Amino acid sequence: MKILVVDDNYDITNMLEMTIESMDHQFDSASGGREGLEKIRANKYDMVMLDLSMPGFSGLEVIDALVKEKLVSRQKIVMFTASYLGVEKLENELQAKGVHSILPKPADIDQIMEKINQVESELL
Amino acid sequence: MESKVKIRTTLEPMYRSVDMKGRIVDCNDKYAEVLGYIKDEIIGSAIFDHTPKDRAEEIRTIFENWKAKKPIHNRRFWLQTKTGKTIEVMITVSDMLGKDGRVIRSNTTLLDYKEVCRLQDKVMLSKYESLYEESPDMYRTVNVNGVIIDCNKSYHQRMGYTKEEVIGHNLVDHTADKSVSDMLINMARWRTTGTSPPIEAWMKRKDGSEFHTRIVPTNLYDDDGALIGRNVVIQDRSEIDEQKAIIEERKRIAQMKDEFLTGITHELKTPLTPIIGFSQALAKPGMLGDMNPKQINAINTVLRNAQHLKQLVSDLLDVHKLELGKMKFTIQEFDLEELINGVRSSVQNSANEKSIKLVFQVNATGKIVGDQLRLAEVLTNLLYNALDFTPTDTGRVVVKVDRDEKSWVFSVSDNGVGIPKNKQSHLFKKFYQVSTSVTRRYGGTGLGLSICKGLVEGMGGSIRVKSDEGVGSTFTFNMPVREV
Repeated sequence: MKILVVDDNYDITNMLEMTIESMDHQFDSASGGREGLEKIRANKYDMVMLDLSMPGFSGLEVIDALVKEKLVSRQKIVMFTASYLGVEKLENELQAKGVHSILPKPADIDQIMEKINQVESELL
Repeated sequence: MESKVKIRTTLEPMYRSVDMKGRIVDCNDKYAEVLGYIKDEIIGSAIFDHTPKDRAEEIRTIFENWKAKKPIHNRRFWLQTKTGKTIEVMITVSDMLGKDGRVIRSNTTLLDYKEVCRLQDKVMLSKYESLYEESPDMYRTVNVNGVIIDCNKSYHQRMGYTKEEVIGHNLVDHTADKSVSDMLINMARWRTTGTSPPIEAWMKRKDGSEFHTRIVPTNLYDDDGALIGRNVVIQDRSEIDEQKAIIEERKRIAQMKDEFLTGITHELKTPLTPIIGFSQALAKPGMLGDMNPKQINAINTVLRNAQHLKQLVSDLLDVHKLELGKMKFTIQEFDLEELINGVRSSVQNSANEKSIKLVFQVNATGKIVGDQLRLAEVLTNLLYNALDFTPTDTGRVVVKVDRDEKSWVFSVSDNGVGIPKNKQSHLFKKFYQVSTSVTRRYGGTGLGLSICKGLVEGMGGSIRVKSDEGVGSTFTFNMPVREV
């Protein structure tokens, strides 16, 4: 799979890169919402791991832009976020917009791998 | 527009202004009218000219007292008309100051004593007389011009005056500047329509301090049905305002606490993500290369502590949600066996590691309606506690499930150290730990039991403990049997 990680935290991106590459998937990253949106527009990814709260351009804004451009279902979008309390309220709304699922931070590496495997199996 | 309301002006005050030599320099029409002069005849005449001969000594005393700055409020006094008739009045004198701040003349208010008595009688006749006088609320009675003709004890005391200082003053004198125009509009409306809604206004005490009130008026009519004044109840709103402010402040603090907690937990979870991820990657055989046993031990310690921190953050959020009543429960029907199997598999390894015998006595079967995950969380939490405080090798932990007509009863018993009686009542409090000397395998956050209690109660049940030191503890909770 070709997986894009959109997160403003370099260490988290780095950890996901290690995990994704250890699973023999292709990794790409963006350090903010705007860059993430541009990469999604320009490339075809199988999966996007999207942080929610990022300065300047949030994960929610990325989703809204993708909905507007009808690009949201082109890839499986997993929200990888620490603001679970906020997301709980948004969960239904996000899923209605076409988000695949929410993976709360901090997740165990097994949970991350499981999520990637789940998305992969759904694509097959 | 002609007034539809029959009103009668009573107690319209007479005014005169007197200079330091006792000469009248100004007066109102009422003064001239009552005394039977035209205004021009009055200006320049001495106050003694308007005083009966036999009262000359008294006016001299009043005049000297005024110059000596002694207060003169509603003092009984006498005027003489042009035709020689004596009129009894109540006299109130205040100062008019010059540019240099010195007294240049007086402003004297004179009220017809008979009219005052008649109006006060009117009020006194009211069967609510004692209620009026003794009410903790402030009462005052005003005529149609807004002159205060009576007030109760509460009114003058809380305004800082004596009763004598109040009577004869216009209500405007007792109104804070910011409320004067509202009050005048209210009075004008009342005179025109005969009614006026209760208003909120700021009152001004003798010392100049102001306070917030609600003013509720009731009309007074004379025997002919003419409007002559109104009784008003003045409710002090300061206390209510204060309470409101306290409530607002509490809300603000709760909001800040909410924002702080959600903010800080977010900030804590973010760095935990790579800590846990990389530690697990290192500990995973082969993922990032192999480590020697000491390195594996070290990274596992990092990991265990990171997981503890993660648990603490999640517990903090749970406690917070339970406190705010924001915890969501997903109520579904599920199988008891499924719940028990899930709980067993999550704690069995830990029991094995300590060679503690884990016994399940399930004396019930069937479907439960409730939140399966939360119920499992409570049971698991109680089980980890039991495992923590039970000795290796000889330890025995028993989970029992029973069902009666009304509820499911779950209990977790151990043969561990037990809890001293004097500490049992604190067990379910936040951050309470019986002893800090106990090294806990699962790193207690001090929140576990408080969360268990919150979850059980949130699902409509209750939890209790029975424990004897050196014998062991039993935690029991019940969940009401409910329909889907």
